[in-house]
Amino acid sequence: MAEDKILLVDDEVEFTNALAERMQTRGLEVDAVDSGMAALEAARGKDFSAIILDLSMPGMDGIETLKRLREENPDLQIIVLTGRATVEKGVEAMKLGALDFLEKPVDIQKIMEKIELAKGKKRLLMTKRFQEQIDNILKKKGW
Amino acid sequence: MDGTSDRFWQEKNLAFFGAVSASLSHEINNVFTIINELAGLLDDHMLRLDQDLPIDPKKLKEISEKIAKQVRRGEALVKLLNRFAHSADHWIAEVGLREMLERIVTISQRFAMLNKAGIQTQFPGDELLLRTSPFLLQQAVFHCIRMELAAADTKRMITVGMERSAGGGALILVESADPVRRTEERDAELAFIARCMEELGGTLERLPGEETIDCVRLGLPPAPES
Repeated sequence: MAEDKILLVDDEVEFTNALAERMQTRGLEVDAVDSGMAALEAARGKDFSAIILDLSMPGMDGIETLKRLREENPDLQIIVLTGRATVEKGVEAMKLGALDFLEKPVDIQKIMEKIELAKGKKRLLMTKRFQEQIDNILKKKGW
Repeated sequence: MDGTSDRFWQEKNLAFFGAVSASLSHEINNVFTIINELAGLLDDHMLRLDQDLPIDPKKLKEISEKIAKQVRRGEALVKLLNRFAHSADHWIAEVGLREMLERIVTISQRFAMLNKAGIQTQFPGDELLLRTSPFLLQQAVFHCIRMELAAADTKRMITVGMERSAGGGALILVESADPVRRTEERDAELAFIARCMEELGGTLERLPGEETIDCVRLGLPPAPES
């Protein structure tokens, strides 16, 4: 079975390198990018189980990135991981469809729990989409 | 100063102190976050020992070096925050202009980075000593830089320089490689910087024309004879 793919989006490269290595040890396939634009590009090319997204980045910030990622693919499961975890930012991110909002620094166990949650939610959405496709086919055939 | 003016300065001073403290504490938190992951990575490697799996000493050395690098980065940030906080100790003090400008440029680098811009310094000659308000002068320079950054397209370079003026005072120059278009917001920023300079007994000059701002020159009077 293919490994679950995770995308890390953060401009602190030392951080993404270390976190990626720890996630790989735990059986995940991890890609890392350092900007919102690169995240949009990466998400178009691969099917990620979850995206872990920082808010404070050069150029396009995390909130704008979240918005555009969800516009392009509303099924994407995005976990916001930030050092600027204010209630206002948390509410804004959740309203834009983030799965959860975590404050840096965070325990790896907590991230792994959120990834499991993302995988479960993605499976549910895929089942729902599949069921909708089957229903449409049956409807077209008049069955 | 009347009550309105007091309130104006209180708000401006607090906003400046808040913006700088928030930025530096965010950077310090980034350092802790990296150290947290690197320490976790060390733990992961040590767990291999419990499972009788080999560990690579080179890898451990590499991680410990990265931790040491982040500790040094954190120390520098704490020192910067501490010096900035102490600049509010005395409203008027003897100021080493080069040192002060280097501090405010370092503080502004994160704002520049978020705008995909850069800041360079040009400080030929010796240190210039002035008797002025370090907190207010930093605020004026910070606003000059932020005004240029707010207009920054990607990869814009801002230069901060200083030189001795003819009258024995000092000139601080904040210059953008490309002309900055005037807007209502930037004009308001300039008006505030002018007000800071007025409080400092100095001058503000905007170059060159009606539509653009290429360079802001802050003129400071010489230190009075002791």
